[in-house]
Amino acid sequence: MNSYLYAAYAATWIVHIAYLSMVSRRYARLRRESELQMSLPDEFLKLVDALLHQYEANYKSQEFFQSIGCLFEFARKRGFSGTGELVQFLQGNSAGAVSRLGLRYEVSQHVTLFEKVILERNPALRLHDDVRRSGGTVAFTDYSRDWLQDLVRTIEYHGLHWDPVSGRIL
Amino acid sequence: MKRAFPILAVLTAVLLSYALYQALEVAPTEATMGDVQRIFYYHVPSAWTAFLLFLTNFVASVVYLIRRNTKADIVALVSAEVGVVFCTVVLVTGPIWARPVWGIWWTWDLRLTLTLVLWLIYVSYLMLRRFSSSGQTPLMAAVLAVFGALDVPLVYFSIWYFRTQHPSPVIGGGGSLDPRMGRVLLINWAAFLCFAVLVCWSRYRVERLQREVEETQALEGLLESRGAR
Repeated sequence: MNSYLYAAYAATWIVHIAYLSMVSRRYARLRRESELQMSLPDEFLKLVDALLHQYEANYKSQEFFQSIGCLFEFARKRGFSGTGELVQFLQGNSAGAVSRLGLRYEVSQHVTLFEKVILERNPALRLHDDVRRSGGTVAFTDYSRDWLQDLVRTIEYHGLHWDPVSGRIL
Repeated sequence: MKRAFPILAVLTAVLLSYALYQALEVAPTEATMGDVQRIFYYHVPSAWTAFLLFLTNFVASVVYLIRRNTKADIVALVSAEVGVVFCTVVLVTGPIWARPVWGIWWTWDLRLTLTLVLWLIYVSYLMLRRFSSSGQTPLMAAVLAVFGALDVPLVYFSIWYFRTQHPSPVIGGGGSLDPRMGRVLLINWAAFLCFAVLVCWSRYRVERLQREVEETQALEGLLESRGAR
């Protein structure tokens, strides 16, 4: 067989393998970064607390539900797919406010760490037995692209300011 | 879908091995060029695959321009990148074939020059996407892709309508390829097409992951900046 032939075939696979190794190196790096991002930052948990504190006073406002939706989406991006009882609780108490927002839901069967975090930090939510009995979980799937800006804007719209240090909406 | 990927990977590996066997052992030896003609079984399928990928890039770019669809933007990027890889193979294997047959590695023949220009257009497309930090980058890239795609038919038909040093078309255009060679050529093209789909699929997943990571980094930066205020 001709050496030019082997050179051409070898060159073909060198090009392809070089490209594939570049792609797989990038994938490995991104996976590492993605796993690092999975851990919930303190600021996020503080924001959850702050929003839940607001809940009693503002649960009927559209902005509040948008904020919650954005927050859940953030949790989903970090690998926590369900929002479960909290969303059902909100749905059960909001008399259709969520549906009026045009948000869509998808049913998921997983109770996630995110739910546990929320429930552990907000035991009052456990009082609503009717929600817990209903079973299943629900997660927001439709959201504003610039959701965090929306969230902060929403807080500021109410004349408030979120302090990430104290975790309170002031 | 998770099962489909390894199945396609195995099928592609089997098909590529079979295609290599067909190219080296089954295809008849060409009378004047001898074994070096077998480069054709890698060179031509790579070129056709590159053309298809650039066509995909064109369609995805048009869809992006009309709908501003993120998936279309990712498909455009991935198809251009993998298309450049296949076009690189064409530009590498061509001169390796030309040296023993023509006696030179390269000539500024119309087909060769247009292919090099095509490669440069899509490399500049990838450079734009890689180094531009503007929010309008996908839009600018889509416009560049639409104009860049104009070179694809020029490259393809250059050997139909112009007298060039590059061999005439072997399929259509009055070519007379031995049916056994034609069969091996099509087997190799099928194998490289499967391989291209597999690579594009992997690259698509990597790009999705990259965008998620970057988005989260941006959100974290925003959170930090809000905290610092």
